[in-house]
Amino acid sequence: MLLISLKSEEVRRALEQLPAEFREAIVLREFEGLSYKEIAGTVRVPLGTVMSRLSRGREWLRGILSSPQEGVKQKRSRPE
Amino acid sequence: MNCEDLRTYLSAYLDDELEVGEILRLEKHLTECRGCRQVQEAQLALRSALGDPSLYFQPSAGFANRITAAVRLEAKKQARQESSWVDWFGMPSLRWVSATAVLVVIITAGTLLILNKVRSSHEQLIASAVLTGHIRSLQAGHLVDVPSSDRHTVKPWFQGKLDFAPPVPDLSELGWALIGGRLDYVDGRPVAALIYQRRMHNINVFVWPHHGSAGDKIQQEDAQGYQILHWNGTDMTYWVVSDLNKDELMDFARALRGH
Repeated sequence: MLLISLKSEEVRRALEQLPAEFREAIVLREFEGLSYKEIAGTVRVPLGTVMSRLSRGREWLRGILSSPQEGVKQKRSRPE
Repeated sequence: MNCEDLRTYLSAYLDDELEVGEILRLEKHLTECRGCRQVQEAQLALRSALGDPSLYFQPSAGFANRITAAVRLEAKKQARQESSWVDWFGMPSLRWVSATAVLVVIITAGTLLILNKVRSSHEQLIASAVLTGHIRSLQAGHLVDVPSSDRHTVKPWFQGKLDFAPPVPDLSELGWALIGGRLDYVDGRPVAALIYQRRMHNINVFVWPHHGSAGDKIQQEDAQGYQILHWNGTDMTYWVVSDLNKDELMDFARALRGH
């Protein structure tokens, strides 16, 4: 499935399926345009954690959007 | 770098947050691994999907006011609690010394404040007007009168509508897309409003002639969640308003001023 053809409603629903800390990192980066350092300062976590949350959050999001059922499966086996 | 490392670092690479050494290792791996190139393409497509402006939720102006009011109330409560814990330095002789010192500080601060207020009250009025202009342009869906990314379309559009020709620099190579222009009314005169965009953030640049000397410094303030920047150029005055973060908006102002 081509992600580029997705409707904003599908993307919004996928974002809502992400755990809060992953969603928070993605929203601060993609929508608010904060740098990794600024995100680390805002949510008070180390820089490495920001990098990891963004990487895993986006990978997870891509999984949900590529296959809508994926989100449910991933939710059951949420990475720590 | 192996495939697992690449998947860890790819996100930061696309965000331009990696150091040079890591970038070189990652790019070398990308040239050698087809599977990882596909992962990169998928991540780029995801970014494009996330770039849809309709995903960005804009809270109402009242929301920011309610949060500010709640924070102020809490701060006042805390300040009252703290002052009740301090027994005003204890000794009676020290009370007079400290009271006099406090009085001198208050008078000095008050005088400076009044002088500063007289000087800046006019600018405050303009700041308030440009902020209102920015919010109104977004709420009423009347962001642009002339929608175009071409400076040679936007600039001539103002001819006959204003008694000056506003500079309309093309900053697209620096990542600031021009999306159009609009007529607005600020400080008792019609002015040019140029609209640039980065990601989902709209930037209103209000421009009109200025007859004083050019200033070195870009003044910055924030109000109601928006950033307002101001400086005087050699023959124009500039006011920039956006909900973009302060650092990026400063970069924009410097790019605009450098043109």
